[in-house]
Amino acid sequence: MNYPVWNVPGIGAGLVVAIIATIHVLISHFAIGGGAFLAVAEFWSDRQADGERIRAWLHKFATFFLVFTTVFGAVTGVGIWFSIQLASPEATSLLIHQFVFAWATEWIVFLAELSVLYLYYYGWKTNSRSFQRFLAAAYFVIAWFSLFVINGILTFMLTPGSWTLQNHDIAGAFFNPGFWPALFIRTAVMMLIAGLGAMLVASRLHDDALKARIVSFSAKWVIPAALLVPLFGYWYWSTLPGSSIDLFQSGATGVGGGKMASINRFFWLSVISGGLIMVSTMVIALRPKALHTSAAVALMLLALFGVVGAEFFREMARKPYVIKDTLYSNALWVHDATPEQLAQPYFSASRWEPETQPLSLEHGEWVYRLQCATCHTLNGYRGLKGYTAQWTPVSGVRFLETLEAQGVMPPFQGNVDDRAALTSFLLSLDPERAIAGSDVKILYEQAQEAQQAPQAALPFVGSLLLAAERGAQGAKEGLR
Amino acid sequence: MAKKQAEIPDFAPIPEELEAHLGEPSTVTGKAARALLHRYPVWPVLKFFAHKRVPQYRHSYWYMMGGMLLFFFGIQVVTGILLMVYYQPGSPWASVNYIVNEVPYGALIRSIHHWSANLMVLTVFLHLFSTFFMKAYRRPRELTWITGLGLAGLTMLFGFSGYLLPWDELAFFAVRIGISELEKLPLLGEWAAGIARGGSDVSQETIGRFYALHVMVLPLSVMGLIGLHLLLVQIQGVSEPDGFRKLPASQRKYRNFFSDFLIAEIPVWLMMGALLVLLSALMPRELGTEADVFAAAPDGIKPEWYLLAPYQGLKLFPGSLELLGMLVMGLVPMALVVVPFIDRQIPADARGRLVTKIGVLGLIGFVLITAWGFFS
Amino acid sequence: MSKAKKRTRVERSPVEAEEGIELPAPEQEKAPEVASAEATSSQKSALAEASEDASAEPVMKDRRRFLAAMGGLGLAWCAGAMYPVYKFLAPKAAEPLFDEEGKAVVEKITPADVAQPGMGKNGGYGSRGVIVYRDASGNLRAFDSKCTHAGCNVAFKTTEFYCACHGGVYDLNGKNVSGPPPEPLPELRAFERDGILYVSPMGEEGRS
Repeated sequence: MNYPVWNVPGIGAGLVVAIIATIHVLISHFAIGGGAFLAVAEFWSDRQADGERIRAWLHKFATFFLVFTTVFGAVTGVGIWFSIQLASPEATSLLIHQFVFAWATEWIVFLAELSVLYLYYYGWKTNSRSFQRFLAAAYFVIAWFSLFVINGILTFMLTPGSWTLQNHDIAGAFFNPGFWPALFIRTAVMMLIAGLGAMLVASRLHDDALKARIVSFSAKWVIPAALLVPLFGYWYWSTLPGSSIDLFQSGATGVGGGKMASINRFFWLSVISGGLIMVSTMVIALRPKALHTSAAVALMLLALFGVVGAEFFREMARKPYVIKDTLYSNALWVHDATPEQLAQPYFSASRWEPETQPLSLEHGEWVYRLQCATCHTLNGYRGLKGYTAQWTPVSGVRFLETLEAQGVMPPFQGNVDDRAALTSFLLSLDPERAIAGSDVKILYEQAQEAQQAPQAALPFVGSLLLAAERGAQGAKEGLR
Repeated sequence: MAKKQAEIPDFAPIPEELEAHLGEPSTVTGKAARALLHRYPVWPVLKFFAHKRVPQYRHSYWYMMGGMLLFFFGIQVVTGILLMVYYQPGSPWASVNYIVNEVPYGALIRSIHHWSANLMVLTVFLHLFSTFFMKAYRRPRELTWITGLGLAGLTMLFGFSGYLLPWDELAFFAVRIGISELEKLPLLGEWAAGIARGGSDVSQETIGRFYALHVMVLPLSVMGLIGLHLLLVQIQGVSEPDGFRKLPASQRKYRNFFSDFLIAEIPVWLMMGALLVLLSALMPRELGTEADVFAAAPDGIKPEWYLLAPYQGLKLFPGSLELLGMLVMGLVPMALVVVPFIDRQIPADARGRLVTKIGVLGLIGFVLITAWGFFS
Repeated sequence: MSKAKKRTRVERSPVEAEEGIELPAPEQEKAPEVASAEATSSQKSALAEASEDASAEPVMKDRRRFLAAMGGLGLAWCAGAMYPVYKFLAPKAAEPLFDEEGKAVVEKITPADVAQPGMGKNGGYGSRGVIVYRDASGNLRAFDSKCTHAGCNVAFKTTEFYCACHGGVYDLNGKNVSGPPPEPLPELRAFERDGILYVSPMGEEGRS
C-alpha cells in the first residue's frame, strides 16, 4: 500500500470498503429490479378492476424507491470510490486506466437513469398511462445496462480472461469468463430484492385485502428468483479459477478460525440466507395479510446478509490478489515480485520512506502499515495480535520469509531487518512477549547457523532458549 | 353420518363451527380429520390457544422478544447436542480444540452456539426491560413476571456453566472468580462454593459438575419453566399497556397470535438465524490456550459483556467493603422480584411513575457501568 | 363437571344463590346439602362423620395434625435418604500441599530462572500457583500467587506482583498496595536442594 496514512483501528481499511460496498450492492440491485417491478406492476394494475387503488399504492412504492435508491445509492456509490482509492490506490488506478470507456459509459447511463426516473415520478399525474409505462420500462432497461457495464469490471478482477497488463485486451477483460454467469446471478438477485422491497412498502398498508394481493404478487418475484440463483451460481462456480476452489476446499493453514476458512464461512452465509429468504417468503405467501413491517424488514436484512456472504466470497476468492495474477492485495505488482527485488531493504523499494531507526519498533510499525494494514488490524478484524499469538521471534521471521506459501498471503517485501522489525513490533503487541528488533535478528541468525550445522545443534539449543528468555526479560525491563 | 358416529360410545361430536374447516367429508383428508377429532376432541385445546391476541400499535414489535428467546433456545439445544457429540469432559480443552480445528464445520457450530448464547442474553435483557417499562408485571401477572425472572437467572447460569467447559485460560479464571465471589457470602457461601467446585479449587473435577448442570439440569429446568411461563401468558393473554387501554374501543386493534402474529415472527427468527451465521463468519469464537492452574492470569482478561456491570461495580468496593458491594448488587434482583407487589395500580399512579423513573435510572446506570467496564 | 355441581348447589340452597357467594371448599364439605352423588368415597365418609355429631370437628383437626406430623417425618426420612446423594456431590477433601517433611516441589521454575537478583517467575506447587524470585540481597522469596481478592493468579512483574483480573497490585513483600485485594499474599519459605526448588510453610520465626 502506498498511502500509509489511512489507519482504521479495529475495523481495517478493507472492512470499511466492504461495509459501504455491500450496502451499495443491496441498494443498487433494488434500484434495477425495482425498475422492472414498477414496469410490470404498471401493466398488472391496468388489467385489474381496481387499478387505481393499486396505482395509489404503487405511488407510495415509487416514492420509497426514488428516495431510497437515489439518496443512499448515490451516497454509498461515491463512498466506494472514496474508500477504495484510499485502501487500494494502485488497483483503483489500474481499473480507471484500463476501463476508461466503460466508466464514461457508466456515468452517462447513470445520468440517463436518474433523468428517466424523475420524469416518471414527477409526471405521475400529468403523463399519459402509456407514456408512464414506457418510462418505467425504459428506466429498467437503462438501469440494467449500468449493471451490464459494472459487472464486466467487477468480474474482471477475479477472472481477467485473455487480458494481461501488456496486451491491453479490453474486450477480453470485459467479457471475461465470469461475466455472463455473474450477470445472470445479479439479474435474478435484483428481482428477488425488488419483490422484498415491494413487500416492505406493502406491509404498511392498512387494507388487509389489498395488502394480501400485493404481497402475493411480490412473493412471485422472490420465489422463482431464489430458485434460479443456485442454478446460475453453479455456472459461476464452474468459471472460478482452480486456486479459488482450492482455497475454498482446503482453507487457509495456520490462520485463525479453525478448519473452516473464512471464504467457506461466507459461502455458507449466502446459501443459508438465500434458503431462509425462500422459506420465509413461502410462509408469508400462505397468509399474506399477516405480513408485518418487522417481518418485511427481517426479510430485507436476510437479503443483506446474503449479499454480504456472496460479495465476501467473491472478494476472498481472489486472495492473495486484488487483480488476479497481476496485483497483490497490498499493492505489490506481480512483475515486481522477483526474488531480487523482494530482497531489497523495504523502504528503498517502497514509494514511502519514513524516517525511522533500523530495527526499532517504529520501523516495524511502518512495515505493518505499508504492507499489512490494507487487510489486517492489530487487535480487531483479522487482528494480527491474535494471529501471531503462537509466534516466537524465530518462527515469526521464518513465517514472513515464506509468507506466500500461506496461499492467501502475498510475498513479504524486504530484508532480514524488515522482517525482524515487523516480528518485534507484532510480538510487542503483547507486553509479556515484547522483544527488541535487534534481539529478534540475533536469535534468528543464531537459529539459522544452528540449522546449517546440525551436529552442533543439540547443545546449542539450551543456550539458545536461555538467550531467548534473557532477551525477552531485557526487552520487558526496557519497556518499563 | 354424524348421527351414526355419535351412537358409538366415547365418540365426541364435532362442533358446527369446526365442520366448516375440515374439508369435504368424502375426501381422504376430510375423513382422516374427522376420524381423529372424533377420537381425540382437541377443540377445547385449540380454542384455548386461539383466544390469545396481541395489541397492535407502534411498538408492538416488543412482543416478539419472547418468541425470539424461544428460537435462540432452540438453536442452543440443536448446536449444543451437536457439540456434545465430540466434547469430552475428561479431556475438555483437547476435545474442543479437535472440534475447532479438525471436525468439518466444527468452528462454525461452536461459533453459532457462542453467538446464540450472547444474543439470547441480550434478548433476555430486552424482554425484561420491555416488560418492565410496559408495566406488564402488575396484577394479575405477578407470577408470570417471577417465572420470567427465574428464566433470566437460569440463562445467566447457562452462560456461566458453559463458559468453563472449553477449559481455556479465560474459562478457568472467570469461573474461579465467580465461585470465589460465591464463597465470600456469609453462612452457606463456603459450603456452596465447595459443592460447585467439587474441591478446594476449580479443577477438572469442577468440569463434570458444570457439564451435568449445563447439558441436563439447566435445559430440563428451563424447559419446565418456559412451559409454565407460556401457560400463564396463554391463560391471561398479552398485557396491554396503559396508553393502549385508554384508547376508545374502536381504535384498539388486535392481531390473533395464532397465526397472524406467529407468521410475521418467523422471518424475524430466521433472520436472527442468518445473523448468527454472519457473526460466526466475521468473528468466529477463538479457543484460548489450555488452562494452566499455575500460570498468572493473562493481561487484559475480562468477563463477557453481560457480566461487565457487576465486574466493574465490584471494583468500586475494594477490600472489606466488597460484601457491601455484593449486597448492593443483590438488591437489584430482589427489587425486581418485589416490584409487582409495590407497583399495583392500573393505570399507573404516582408510585408507578416513580418505579418507571427508577427503572430508567437503573437502565442508564447499567449501560454506563457496562461501557465503563468495556473501555477501562 | 364443576358447572353441573354448581347448578345442583344453587337448586338446593337458595340462600347461597341469592348472595352469589362461592363458599370455600372445606365449608362446602361440612354442609350436608352440598354432598352430591359425584363425591368420591373418601369425601363421602368424611361427610358422613361430620353429619353424625358436632364433636367430629376436633377429631378432624387431630387427624390433620397427625397427617402433618407424618408428612414431616416422611420428608425428614426422604432428606436422610438423600445423604448418599449429598456425599456423592460433596467436594473431596483437599490433598495435602506439603509432604511429610513439610516441603513441596516447585514446578515450572528452575534454579536458573531465579539465578540473579531481580529474576523471578510464576510456577506452581501441589495444586496451587506460586511466585519465586531472588531479591536484591540475594535471598529466595516465595509467595502463594492466588490473589486474596477473587482468586486469580497474580503475575510476577519485576517490581511488583500484578493481578490482571481486577488490577490488584502487591509489592515484592506480598503486601497489598493498591486495587481491591483485602490481604497480603501468604509468604512461603523457598529453598534449593540438589538443583530443585522447594517451598515450605513459613514458620512464625520466618516472618520478617
